[in-house]
Amino acid sequence: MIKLLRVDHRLLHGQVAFSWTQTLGADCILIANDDVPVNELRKTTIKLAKPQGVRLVIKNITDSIEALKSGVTDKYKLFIVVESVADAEKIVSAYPEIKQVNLGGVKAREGTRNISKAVNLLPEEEELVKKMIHQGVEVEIRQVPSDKKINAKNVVN
Amino acid sequence: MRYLLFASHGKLAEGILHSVEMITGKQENVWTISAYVDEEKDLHSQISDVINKLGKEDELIVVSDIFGGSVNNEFMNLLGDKRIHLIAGLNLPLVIELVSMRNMETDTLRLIKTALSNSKNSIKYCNLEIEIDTEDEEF
Repeated sequence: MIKLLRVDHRLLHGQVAFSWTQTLGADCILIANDDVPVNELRKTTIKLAKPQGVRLVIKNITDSIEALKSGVTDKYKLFIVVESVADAEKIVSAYPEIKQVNLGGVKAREGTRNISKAVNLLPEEEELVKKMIHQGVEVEIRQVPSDKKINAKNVVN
Repeated sequence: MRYLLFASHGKLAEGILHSVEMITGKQENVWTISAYVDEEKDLHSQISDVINKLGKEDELIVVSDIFGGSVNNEFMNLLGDKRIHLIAGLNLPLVIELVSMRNMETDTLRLIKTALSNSKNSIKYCNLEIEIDTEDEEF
């Protein structure tokens, strides 16, 4: 079952990896990203950030969706991490079993708007967030599990 | 109640609390002493102010910046008080271990020993770490 899909531009790092995995009770982490599988240094760094006792699978977006649909992930309490809203939306649209999306960190870029703490979205990303909400997904903003949830519905334009 | 106190020469203690809260969220029952910053304040009385807040059944885990330093030495004098546990070597991995386990582990000795061993292991020469080649995992 899917515990959560998180958007974090830093993907898997330090205490974030640890606290989320622990709070969710996840036993498997999927890093769904098109760069990491082909970027050895980035891949190594992410592997080093893996909390003990959980499986860590790294796949590009297409292979991630395929794996989710195939059912091989069903036996896991899965925590999915992607680096962008666009990647999140691709996966959620292709695999509607995902009911909760967490926006953890999206860095500021040209043309972005700060919608909350560490989350900066382009207008087209706000549209994607709204699209996910319309599909019945709960989109919430939190950096760490102990933060108060901010419902994205209330902050996107 | 189990309290934490970070104590340092200068502002390391308050700085480390700022960093910890950025990573783990807001922390309750954590105090800091930044010694010698304000010349009006005497370290001895700063420490007394904290100790006086403790009840009979409370516990205080002090993390000082450096073993053998004057801040740590001040606390060494208090170790006759069995409510006080003193760790020297304030650093972020250690403090994160302590704050994240302190409400789960009831045995204080075990809490401290685990936090020490885990955090010691997190001091790394990264150039060597990336040489380690681990297998890719699959579902």
